[in-house]
Amino acid sequence: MTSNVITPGQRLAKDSEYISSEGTYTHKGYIYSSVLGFQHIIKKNLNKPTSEEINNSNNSNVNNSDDRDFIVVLKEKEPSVVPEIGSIVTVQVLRINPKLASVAILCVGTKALKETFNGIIRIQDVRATEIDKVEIYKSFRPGDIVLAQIVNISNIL
Amino acid sequence: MSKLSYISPEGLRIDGRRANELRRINIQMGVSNRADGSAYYEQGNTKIIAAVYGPREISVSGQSIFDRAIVKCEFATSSFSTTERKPQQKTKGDRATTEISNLVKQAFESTIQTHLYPRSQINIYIQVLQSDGGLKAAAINASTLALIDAGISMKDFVCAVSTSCIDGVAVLDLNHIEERSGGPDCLLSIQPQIGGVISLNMDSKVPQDLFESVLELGEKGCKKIFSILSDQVKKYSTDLISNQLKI
Repeated sequence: MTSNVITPGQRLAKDSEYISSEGTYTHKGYIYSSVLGFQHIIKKNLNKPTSEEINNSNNSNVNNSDDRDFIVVLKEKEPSVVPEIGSIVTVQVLRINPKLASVAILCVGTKALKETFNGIIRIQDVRATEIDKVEIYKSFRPGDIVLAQIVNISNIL
Repeated sequence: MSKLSYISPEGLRIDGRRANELRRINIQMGVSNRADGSAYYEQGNTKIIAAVYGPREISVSGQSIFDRAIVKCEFATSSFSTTERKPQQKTKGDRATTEISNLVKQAFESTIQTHLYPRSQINIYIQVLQSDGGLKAAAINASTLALIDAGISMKDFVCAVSTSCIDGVAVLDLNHIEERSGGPDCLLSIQPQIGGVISLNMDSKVPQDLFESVLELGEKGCKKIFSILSDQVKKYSTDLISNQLKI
């Protein structure tokens, strides 16, 4: 296992053999690594490829059928995640005012952030129905932990 | 001896190297715990520390780009890095350091996969501990290592080396004395694996008939540096894992 450490820019496989996934990118028909780590092949035919089901590249066979397997390079360090539009985040309410609640983003999905990001929950985004009747004071209190989704402001405005 | 001879009749340079030889490269990764990634880089007597923070939230609002990250670079030389001690306020923000920080910034803007980190910024801080020529190249190489340590997605390594021609001979990896010889200083930085030139800077002109050999030597030097760096990076991560297994 210790022998094949993958460094950024290392050519891993042909584009036609695998689907480029996390930690890799394609360039001129080949898949390259973009991070330091180990190469793993994730079988596509498994319904939910979780970390326990990741097979080592040594003992997995290349699938010759149409559905290619995913190829990933995982780091030995925990990768730093960034909240993106649509991602489910766990936030803590810091301050509230009549128009919005300012929050600190703690986790993105299941991964905890090293450094918190700032965010706001606007009064019109608190719930889907009866938007005009929402009161921030009745919805949040400082210290609350809220599960939220990042929305694209530029689309709404 | 009125004129300093940069290459002896035996073909040896002032510090005993041949024209196509690099100085000894020594690196250490993960030197700073507070940074997300860091590296110590030593090439001959040039010693540099690079630290990377990020991707993190943009510090100055309004600078964010909605579909990619911005790269910021700060380059500083310590007051004790050269033979003449400079007052502290002149080691940052003057023309030379701004030029180097812009060079590093541009080199990595095209190499980091910035589209993976929208609305974020990546900060690179470079501190020169000891200066003996080839600062630009060393700054780029050190930043590459720090970015790899931080786990930031990159297309490839960026490897840089300075070349020149002295007395009609192409010379690799100049030290401070050779840099001051007045010959052209040609900095080449490449992506060694996917094969792209990141930058090619020339301070004063290289004669046309020598340019090709200078460039070729630079490319060989970059490839050599790459093989040293990638060996060291692999060794570093293998060591990390073997330490993990012991615990």
